[in-house]
Amino acid sequence: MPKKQAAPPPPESLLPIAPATFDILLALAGGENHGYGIMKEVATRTDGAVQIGAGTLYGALKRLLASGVVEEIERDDPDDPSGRRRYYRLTRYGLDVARAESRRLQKAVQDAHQKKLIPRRVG
Amino acid sequence: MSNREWLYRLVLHAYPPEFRGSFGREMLSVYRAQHRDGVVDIRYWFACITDAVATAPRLWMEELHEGLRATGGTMRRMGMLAAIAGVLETANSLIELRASAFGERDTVSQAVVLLVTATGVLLTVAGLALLFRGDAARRLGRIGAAGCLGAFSLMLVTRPMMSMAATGLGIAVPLALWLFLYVRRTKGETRPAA
Repeated sequence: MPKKQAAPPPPESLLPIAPATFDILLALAGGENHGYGIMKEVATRTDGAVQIGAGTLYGALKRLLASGVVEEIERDDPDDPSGRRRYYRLTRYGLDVARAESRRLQKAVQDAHQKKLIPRRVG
Repeated sequence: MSNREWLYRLVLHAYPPEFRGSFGREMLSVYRAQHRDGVVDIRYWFACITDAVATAPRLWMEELHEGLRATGGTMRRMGMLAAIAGVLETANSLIELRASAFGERDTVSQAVVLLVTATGVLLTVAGLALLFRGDAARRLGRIGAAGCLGAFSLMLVTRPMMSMAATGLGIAVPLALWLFLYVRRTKGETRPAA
């Protein structure tokens, strides 16, 4: 008889998410990607302001895989010398976690507006 | 610029073995891609080492925690096995003692059976103590296992016709328990601090 899988904790229980981890989730929200692709995507999106190191990236991916936020798939890749590459993608649960963290940050930005820390309209 | 892959491999050794096993090859392939893209310079190495210093301790802690959690499960199973073996051994030796009371009186044999009864009780207590973990329980477990082995060896000499089941129970289980506790102790001493 197959073992019944325990239900994951509510997405809000994983908040707040570390900034580097949220950057990884944002990179994966655009679709599956491999490790180096995630690093490059984060650097491009932030105009080079955020450079994620390999230790930070794979340390975060290890935890995200363990908590079911991210899953990995192996795919053929002609660019890789081994011909295979591990790709990572957000699970449905991971998408809920990313959305919950986005809402939390949005609320923080709204609070910052109210406290006049930042102007209401930028640009 | 020359490929300093050996240096990157050296930096990878800052990470715990299980993490290296899961992601080491991939991290190396990221390094090779970065080298191909020409981003490996002195600033890269500074960032790389800083990143390792910042992230490796947490990964060591997590690995250590996972290891201890896994050991806890094995320890509980060993505790249960030792307790059951201890109860069976005590019962077996009590039956032997009762049987010997009706037969020819042999003081040495009776003393040995009594000793086995005592070590059976000790093994039961050690098994129960292991269920609650702690260093004292481990020590008690080792003493119980060693005592059991000694008593059964004596019994084998005085009573060579002992049944296979009794021999297995009295020697294999305490030997397995003793080896398990010894290996855990050695691993605990040699494991690098997180």
